[in-house]
Amino acid sequence: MKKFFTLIFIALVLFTFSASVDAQELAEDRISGVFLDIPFPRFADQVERNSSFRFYFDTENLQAVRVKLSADQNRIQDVLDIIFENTDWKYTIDAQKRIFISRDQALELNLADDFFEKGSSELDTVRYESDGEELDRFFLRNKLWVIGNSQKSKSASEAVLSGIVTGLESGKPSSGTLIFEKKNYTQAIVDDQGRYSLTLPKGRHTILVQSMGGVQEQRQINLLGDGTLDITLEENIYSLGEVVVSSEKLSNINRPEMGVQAISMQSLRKIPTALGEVDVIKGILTLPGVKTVGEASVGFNVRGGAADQNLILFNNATIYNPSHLFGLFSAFNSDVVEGVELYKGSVPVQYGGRLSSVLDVKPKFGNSEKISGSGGIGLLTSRLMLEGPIGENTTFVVAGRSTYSNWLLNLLEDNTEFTGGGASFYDLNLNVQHKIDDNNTLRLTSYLSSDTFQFDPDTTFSYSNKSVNLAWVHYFNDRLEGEFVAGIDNYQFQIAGRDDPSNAFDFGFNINQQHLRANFSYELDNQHTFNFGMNSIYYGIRPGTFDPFGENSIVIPESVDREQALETALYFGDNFEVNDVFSINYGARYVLYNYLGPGTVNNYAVGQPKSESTLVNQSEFGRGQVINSYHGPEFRVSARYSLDNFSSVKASFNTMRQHIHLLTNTSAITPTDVWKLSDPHVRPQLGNQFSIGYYKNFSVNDLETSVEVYHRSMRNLIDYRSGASLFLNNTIEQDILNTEGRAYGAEFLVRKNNGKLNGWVSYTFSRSLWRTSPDELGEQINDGAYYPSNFDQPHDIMVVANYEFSKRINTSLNANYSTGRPITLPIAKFQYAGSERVYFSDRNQYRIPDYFRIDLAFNMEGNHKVRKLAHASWSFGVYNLLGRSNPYSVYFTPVNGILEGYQLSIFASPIPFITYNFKF
Amino acid sequence: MFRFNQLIPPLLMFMLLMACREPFEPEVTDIDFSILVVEGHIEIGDSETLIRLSRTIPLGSQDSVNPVRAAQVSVESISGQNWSLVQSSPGSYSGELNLPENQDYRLRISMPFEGQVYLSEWLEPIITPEIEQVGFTQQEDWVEIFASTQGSEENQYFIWDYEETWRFRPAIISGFIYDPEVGNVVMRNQDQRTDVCWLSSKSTGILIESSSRFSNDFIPRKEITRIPAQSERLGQRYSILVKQRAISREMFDFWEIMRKNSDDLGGIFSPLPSLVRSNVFNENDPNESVIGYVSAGKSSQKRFYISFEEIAPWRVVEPAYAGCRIYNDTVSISEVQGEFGSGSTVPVIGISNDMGFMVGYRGAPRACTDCTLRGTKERPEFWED
Repeated sequence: MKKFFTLIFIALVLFTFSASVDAQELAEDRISGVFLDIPFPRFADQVERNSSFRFYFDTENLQAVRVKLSADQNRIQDVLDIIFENTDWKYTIDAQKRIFISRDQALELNLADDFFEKGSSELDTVRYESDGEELDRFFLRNKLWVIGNSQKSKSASEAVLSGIVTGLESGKPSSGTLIFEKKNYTQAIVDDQGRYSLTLPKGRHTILVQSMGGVQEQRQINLLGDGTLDITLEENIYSLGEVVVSSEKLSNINRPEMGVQAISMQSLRKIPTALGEVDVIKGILTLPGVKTVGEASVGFNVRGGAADQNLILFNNATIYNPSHLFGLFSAFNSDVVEGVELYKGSVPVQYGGRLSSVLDVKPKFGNSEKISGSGGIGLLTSRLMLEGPIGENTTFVVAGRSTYSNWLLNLLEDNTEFTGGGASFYDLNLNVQHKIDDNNTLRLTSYLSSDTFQFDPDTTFSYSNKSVNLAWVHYFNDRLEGEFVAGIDNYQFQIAGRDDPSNAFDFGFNINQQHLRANFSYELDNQHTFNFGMNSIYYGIRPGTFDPFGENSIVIPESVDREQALETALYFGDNFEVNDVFSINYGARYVLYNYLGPGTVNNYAVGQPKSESTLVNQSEFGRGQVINSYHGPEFRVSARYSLDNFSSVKASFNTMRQHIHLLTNTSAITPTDVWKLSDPHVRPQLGNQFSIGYYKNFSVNDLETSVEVYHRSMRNLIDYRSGASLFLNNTIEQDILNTEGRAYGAEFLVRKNNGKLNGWVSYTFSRSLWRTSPDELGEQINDGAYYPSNFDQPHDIMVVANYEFSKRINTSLNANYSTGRPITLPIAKFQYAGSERVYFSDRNQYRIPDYFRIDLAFNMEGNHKVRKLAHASWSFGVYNLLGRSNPYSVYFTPVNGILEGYQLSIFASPIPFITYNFKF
Repeated sequence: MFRFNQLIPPLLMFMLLMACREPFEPEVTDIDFSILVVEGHIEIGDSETLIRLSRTIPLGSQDSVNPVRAAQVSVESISGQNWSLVQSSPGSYSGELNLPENQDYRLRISMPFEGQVYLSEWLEPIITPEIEQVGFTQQEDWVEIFASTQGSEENQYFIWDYEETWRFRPAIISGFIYDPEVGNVVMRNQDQRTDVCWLSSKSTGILIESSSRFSNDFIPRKEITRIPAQSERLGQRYSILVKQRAISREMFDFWEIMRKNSDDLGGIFSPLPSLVRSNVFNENDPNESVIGYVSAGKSSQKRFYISFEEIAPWRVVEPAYAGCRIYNDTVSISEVQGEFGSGSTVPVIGISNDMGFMVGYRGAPRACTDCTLRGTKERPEFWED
């Protein structure tokens, strides 16, 4: 490195001051004139006008030097000698007749005689030669280019500089590159053919060239008349800091919605995850207000809501199971994800159907420039993505990801009891975008994920998500834009039991939804933007079929009646910017839900708990018949008031309705949980949320801070009678307890977006409390008192810090503390049926120990050579750096007849990971 | 019954490749809740009715059971008759009541010291169908004992328990014994033999099944127990008495919850523990927590034998006899008192010289030769060879 700079210095010295002054050459330029006590700058100005000398000096300091002399064909040296006599100013004149005035010491233009010998003895000769190109560059940068001919110039003072800018390696026009003059910022943009043209005053200029990729070049010119200067630019080699043009910078302050969190893929990539896989879900878990009941669990909880209250959308497709390997990985391939937004406070009016939040995962549709790709190889998974144009108007992204955990499991089998098992998954994406014309665009999104897990050779469990939808975006005119979407989403799981031929079975669950959406946005004027439309979802659920497999199986086929329903919503919203400081976003949805036949509905004695013994009769409904309906409005209001340019307050109010419910009575969502539609007995979940927030940015928006406070209340939540079995239950209404909930909390966030050190720190206080609805006739859990829900974790601190050592190496550190989740603990023991048994406390009266984890990751970019197959990067790090065993669960089990308590930790030791990523 | 949760432990295993299990001792409670626990079955006909009463003890307690000793337990019929049970061992109240089957019964528990009376709900006796078959299948790593039974519309829910008895031999058979009266080693007589014994054990799990999920309500080959390979149980001759009871839906629920609460609490996908209900209430305070569900009815049972010939080859590796071997040193006749007098070492083999005279013995630890240390020499009454 040091040698490199030495070389630069040499180059500078060599070519800038390539020759020293030769008195003889200066002979013809003589000075004449009478100067009557004028400041030196004026003197210089006059001399410049009448000769080809050019002065370089500090105008301000030399104002004090007065010139009082009369000259007649005097040599410039003599004149200057007189002027600077008895001052501490010295001058130097070079071959180009440039005169440099300096204080105390004259600028030395002559190199020492032995300079080059010395220099070359220190230099690596080979390096010198190989870097000849570099040397040329420095030469080009600092050489003075004399352009044009003053005689031929049309204008006396100005001239046109034009030329072509091309890439050094590719030779292609470097369109979009900015060319500007250093002093007055006269600028031009290079066009598609690489041409540019600048009109500048004649004379000396420094021309700077700034390419889109951040490469900067410069040229020294002396513009005498119109002329051309062609410039070649290296491509992306000396990259400046990535230029992120962000319109979102002030968004936390300016947008009226609150409780919206966006994470770019860039930030996601830096967050360390358990197995080195960039993970959308794990990423959003770092945001305030988002929690999980533990590692390796499928769901997440937003602001005290249950995991099934989150709508997970992958470009309009609902993803029912967003995970692989039971939650170890999220089901989204990070290479096809453009960005992620989580709405936890105010939910835009076009979304609905879930109580807590909307997670909107935006996919890519491919770049339009060229075919390129990326991929990664990790310890457990590999992925590959290819994107690019097909023809002029069409782009595509295709991506796949798969695991080789089977291989890993086989390795481990020798040492564990885990035999005959296997786990594998894959996911595939294909997105195509076709631009029909300027006003019409078609987008096809398709997605498939599949998991297979074999516990032992005889039982295979598998699940899959399948989605496909087609969107047509149409611009009616400048103000009205419409998007029309039709699609199908499917989620299913199967269990195949082959243990014993007489017991062999197949179990299946399937949910199929068809959706139609029409969404319009209309800009009325500068103040109003309307958002309106409708969406309609037809749900078809096969809640469970249990069938014998093979001839010898005597398992009775069993199934739960299919369910179907149509949910239609109409909505209208207005984003109203009242004035500079106040804006309000208000809207409403009206949701009509029809539970449809064919189906059988059990009728129970009124005023009695629903049970087998209170079953009065059954009503049969035919295909397509409306069994019952629920309908009602949802309101969405959020408003922002700016206090000043850097701070604002916001408030919002939301109501939500949810007609589809996940039946689960375990603390974590299991992949075998089934979804249930609202029916005459299972009412839709209703919720509302008030929130208020204060936002302030510091130091030119580099530091964002916010506080949000919220309160939610929820009705018709589902809890279960003791001992309820949710499996193949055709009378689930007998086991459901109508429950209500409330949640409240405060979220504090400090976020630094730029600089070497960036990231965020958040603290969340939140409570989530449930109680059996007072009008529930069945059991009253905890005697009808409020109890903490399974995911009530009052305190949560999250630190995500990223430090960039250089452009190529950065490190990130995650730290997370949270209160342990509630648990029902055994509080006494007794003997029963030959074993020691336990007696449990009231529901969720205790907590598992607190959670604390630190992760560390390093991301290393490969070198920036242009000519190589692929750009590579490495991610490596350690998950759970401290190796702390964070209990996931606590349980008691009799061991040799004695009751022992255990805590179970999923990742109890530091888990190192390494992933190789590449782009081509 | 097929349960998802059966699938979960292997799943956990996968995660546990990285996971870890550590002891957890919450400071939950040393509070003594002393909740009454009632366990039992009112038997119709000539079998024994047995009711066990105890109170819960704190989790951290060293004790395992806290029997209720001073209670008066009786069975009442709806027609007003009354049968008393006698405390046969601490907390166990039993009697052969010969109850007629055509009326409802309830349990009455009086606690004279506390002044409390507990009553069960009225119970309609359920007559259990006979066990269709008890048999076994041999797998590579275990032998499974199963029972098949025919349920019906009325009797869909079943619970089983069992008692195993097996004959076994110690690791080393000793034909000699040190006789302190003679001061020498003598041949053992029939009474002194310690090489054939019997051991028994009772079921500890909860075995329930519903016939409703099988065609014609026939429960095929319900696994009753599994005997792992190398178990001593099948080394000689093994007998199992399988008892079957048909139970009500509520009772089934109770057992299911009890089973879930203790068997399934393994991990993250386990269901949340549920409230254990009871059909026994304090007469004065119906809200007082009581644990236990009493049933009434006539149970059925079947005994089944397996001899080692049926499953041969069956290699026995009994941990209790690990490391057993005969000592190499010969104890000369003059030393026998010192060596065998205390009884901790037992003479096993006689050593004779070339002439055929007994010159000494080689011994082995008593624990390796005396089966009565683990079992009983008494041949059980029911035992059939």
